[in-house]
Amino acid sequence: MASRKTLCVAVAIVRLMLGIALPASAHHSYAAFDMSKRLLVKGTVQSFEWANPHCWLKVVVPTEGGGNSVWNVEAGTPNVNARRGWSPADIHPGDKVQLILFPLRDGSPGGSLVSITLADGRVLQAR
Amino acid sequence: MRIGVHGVLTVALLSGWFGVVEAQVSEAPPDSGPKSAPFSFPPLPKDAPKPSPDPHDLQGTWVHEGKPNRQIKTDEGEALPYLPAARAVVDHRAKLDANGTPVINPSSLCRPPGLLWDFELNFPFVIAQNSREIVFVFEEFHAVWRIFMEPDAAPSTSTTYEGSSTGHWEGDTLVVRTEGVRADTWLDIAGSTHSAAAIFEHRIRKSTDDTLEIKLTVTDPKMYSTPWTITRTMNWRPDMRLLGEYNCESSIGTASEAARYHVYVDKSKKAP
Repeated sequence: MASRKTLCVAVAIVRLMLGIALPASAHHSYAAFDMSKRLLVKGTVQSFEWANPHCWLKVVVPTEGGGNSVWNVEAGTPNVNARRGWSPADIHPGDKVQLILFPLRDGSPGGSLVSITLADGRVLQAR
Repeated sequence: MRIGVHGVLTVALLSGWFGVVEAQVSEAPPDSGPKSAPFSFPPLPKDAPKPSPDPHDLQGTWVHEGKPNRQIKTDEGEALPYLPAARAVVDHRAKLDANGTPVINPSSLCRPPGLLWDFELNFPFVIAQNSREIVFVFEEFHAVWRIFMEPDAAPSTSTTYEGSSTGHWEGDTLVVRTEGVRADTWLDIAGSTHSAAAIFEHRIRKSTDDTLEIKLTVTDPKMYSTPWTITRTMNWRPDMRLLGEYNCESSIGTASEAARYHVYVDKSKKAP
């Protein structure tokens, strides 16, 4: 049976492999994001910008205290997203969405998008 | 109709007004990793036009479909032969990156990324040519690389993002010599560097009917102990000929985007 140490090493390697997968638009450092961690975030779209060099999502997420926090998410680059099947008309304010993202290292509500699940169930990849 | 306090409470609880019914932020499932490695585009339509059979006619639209390399290696699979000056720059950039205060490269300011990134990332480019000049127009940042086939016509001014390039044919291979490339362009995402005295030699040829081989040799005695070479293959993609917009329209330069980018350069300021 694999030892706990072996298992930990294997997990670390897998996470590293996932973490170093570069976005096609890797033109800036991703030091701001914790690429070893992926979060599932559920919320409501406040705004969506289809803009170069990156699309941006703002998503309102309920907090445990009964309030809201706004997550600011870098969401791929328009040309690459379009070639992956995205359209600027896919996302609207008020849409209920689920995000997979690499979170900001400093703990601020935000991150770099891996994928988004739309209200109709479609999944759009940003990486 | 009147709804009592108990009714309001019941509705509130059912609709999740009071607290979070289920966690809105949680660790993502293990199988939710990036899906883009290796990067791939939709297949080329079967009825797409073919490139010219003339090996000296490179015109059309091409793209690198290989995975971008964070830290490039030579064709022999070895690390770049850094001299101490280059090693110091790369280590400095890596250290700042690890600290969460990365050095901003030209590309992250929406300036042309330089001759290596032009081809390394997965954005298409269009080649147009006549007997005097061959021009590469890149989707990313709309960078333009002009190769003058008449050496006397090549501008020799100050350094630029793409440098000054002259070309000639050796058989079916286009050989391009470029100098005068700005020293602040990065050779890879990890921050490999070059001096303003670096010479870039591209050898470009049609390796098959629908692929373009680009072999680049960098000679830079100030930064590298020996010349080194990398080779990349570009695929024929006439379906991408329109090139998308890639100008930083609402991003760099606007107040909101400047605030966003503080997350990269100033941890004391939070993203909006």
